[in-house]
Amino acid sequence: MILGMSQACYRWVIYPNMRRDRPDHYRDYPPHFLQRLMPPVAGTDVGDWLIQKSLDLGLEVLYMPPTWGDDRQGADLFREKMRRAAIGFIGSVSLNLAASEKEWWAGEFERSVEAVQQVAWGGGKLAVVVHSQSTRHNHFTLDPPVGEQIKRAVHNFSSLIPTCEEHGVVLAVENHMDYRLAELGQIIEAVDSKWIRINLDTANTIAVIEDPLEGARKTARFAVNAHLKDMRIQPATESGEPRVFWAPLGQGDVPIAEILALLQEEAPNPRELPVCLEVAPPPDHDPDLWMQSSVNWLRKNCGIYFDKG
Amino acid sequence: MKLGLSAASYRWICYPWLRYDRPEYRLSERRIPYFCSVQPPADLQPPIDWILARVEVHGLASVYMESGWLEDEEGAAAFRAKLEERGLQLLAGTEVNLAASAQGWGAETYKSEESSAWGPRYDLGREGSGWRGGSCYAQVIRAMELAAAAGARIFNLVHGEPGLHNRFTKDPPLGAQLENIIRNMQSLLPVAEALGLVLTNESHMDYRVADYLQVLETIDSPWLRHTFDFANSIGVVEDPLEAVRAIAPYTVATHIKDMYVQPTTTMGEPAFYHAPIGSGVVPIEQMLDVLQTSVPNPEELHHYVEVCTLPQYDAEEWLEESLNWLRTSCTRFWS
Repeated sequence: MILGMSQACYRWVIYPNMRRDRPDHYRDYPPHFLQRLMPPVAGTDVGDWLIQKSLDLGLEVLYMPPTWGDDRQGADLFREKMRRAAIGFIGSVSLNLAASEKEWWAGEFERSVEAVQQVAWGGGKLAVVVHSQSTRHNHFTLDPPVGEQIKRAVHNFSSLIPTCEEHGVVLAVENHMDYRLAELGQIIEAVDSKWIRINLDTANTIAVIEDPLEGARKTARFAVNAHLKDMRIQPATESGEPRVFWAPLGQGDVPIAEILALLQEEAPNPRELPVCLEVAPPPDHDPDLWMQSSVNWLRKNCGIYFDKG
Repeated sequence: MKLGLSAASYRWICYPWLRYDRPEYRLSERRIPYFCSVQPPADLQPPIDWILARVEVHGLASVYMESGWLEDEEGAAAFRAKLEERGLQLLAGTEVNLAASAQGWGAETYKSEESSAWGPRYDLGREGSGWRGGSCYAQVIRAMELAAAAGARIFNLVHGEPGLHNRFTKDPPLGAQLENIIRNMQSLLPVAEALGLVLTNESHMDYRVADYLQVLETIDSPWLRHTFDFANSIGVVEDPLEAVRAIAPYTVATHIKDMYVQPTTTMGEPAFYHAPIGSGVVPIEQMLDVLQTSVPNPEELHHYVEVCTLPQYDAEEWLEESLNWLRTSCTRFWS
């Protein structure tokens, strides 16, 4: 397996709409004292910043969106920087996978095709698909019921196969706190194409009441990418409402080592399988501290799966 | 099937150690319920009459409450008379560390005189509730004796140390915890049989229904069954519908509640909220269907409504809405 990083680890530092140095950040979140990591200064290329972070942490793959948009030259520049840093690029495609046929052909398809193309421009052979309408359509929403949502997803992904072939980009659909892995497995089986596979997130299943290991068992054979994430589950609380909290890898309740063992056993190409840390602590916590701790834990406890150990 | 009331629906109003009108409540930084349709009990005594009044107001058939509230045989007999006068059934229960080690459980060192009035006492103090004195085993026996004296035929035993031991804690690992639970529950069965009480376990945001099913199958006794909670399995990442399908043949009572799940949030941590029944994501109607067809005796199955309204909201309004929804959307289930 190849160890990498998701840009989401630094969401509170680099996302323009979330970074914690926005003037209105304190309206919604507590102050962040004693942080060692400062958000990048204005004008910094986020791609450069993430490449440096990956190098600092000794990671070989970077998952991020194609920030260059329609700028082909920008994409070429990024591609060259990644080549020089010897870091693999995994792009992202955001689409409404449960779009109705009408919605799909009224623009969603076209936008998805462009997004796949942009990933290819940046040198990506793999793009993680994130459902863009997760609050409108998910496992729990009833209009339409989840069965119909799955049917729509099968239709929509099937229509993207020629685009994937044309650009040589495999789409890895992520369980993104919207659907269960078991449901994504149904989609992959129905589409039945090597271009539509799964990005297995180790913790997101919890949000849709699916056991992480059970979910992995059902879909590891389709996994071409993984996001490593841990969460602490607090079932009983004073309020009677369970809580789930971010945790550095190895300190939560997700059986990360067991899931990696399963991927080693069942993923189509475990040796080349990118597994990206996606550890995104709340904004008043130091993401560097969490990342370094998580990388250390992985190398110590699961090093056998990574060439670099 | 019939509808009953779990006292926990009013926990923030009537539990002496939780009620919102305590000065200590304000230290909790929780919000005050400014528009509450029912007022807390007049004193800090066990709120059993107060709860009975709510059962009657809502036209329910039964009540679920802590056995320790009955205090002694005299209190239990008086309560029994009130229940009989009103034609109500009682599901009694208590909390104890089910996963205690053999030494902590104390069945082997139990002396029968421990169960009498000078043994374990239930303390309903403002600092918290629970049994004081005696071993875990002795405390449960005492709770069962009081339940039987009050006319209960089912006794629900809830794990009382969910922070210390649950399916996610590692010391000891889950397998060893379940072994402890099996040994501890098994030790109670001769007493249950002698008292004519069917003992139940409940998935109480501690272990999965599947874990308790393992306990039931291993012990394999008609004196040990299950009280199924409609939403608690969410807290241990277990699908409620799958859970009820598995446990229905053992189910002799339920706690019926709903919960809303918000999978995605800005923080990236999923959020879980209590909800009036019918307003959450728990497939209540489908689950009632499963119970109707799979429990041994659906006619006698009581569903204790346990709408755990947070203190800042009007518990009475939530309960009324929940009952309305159950009575109008699930009419076919109620006898």
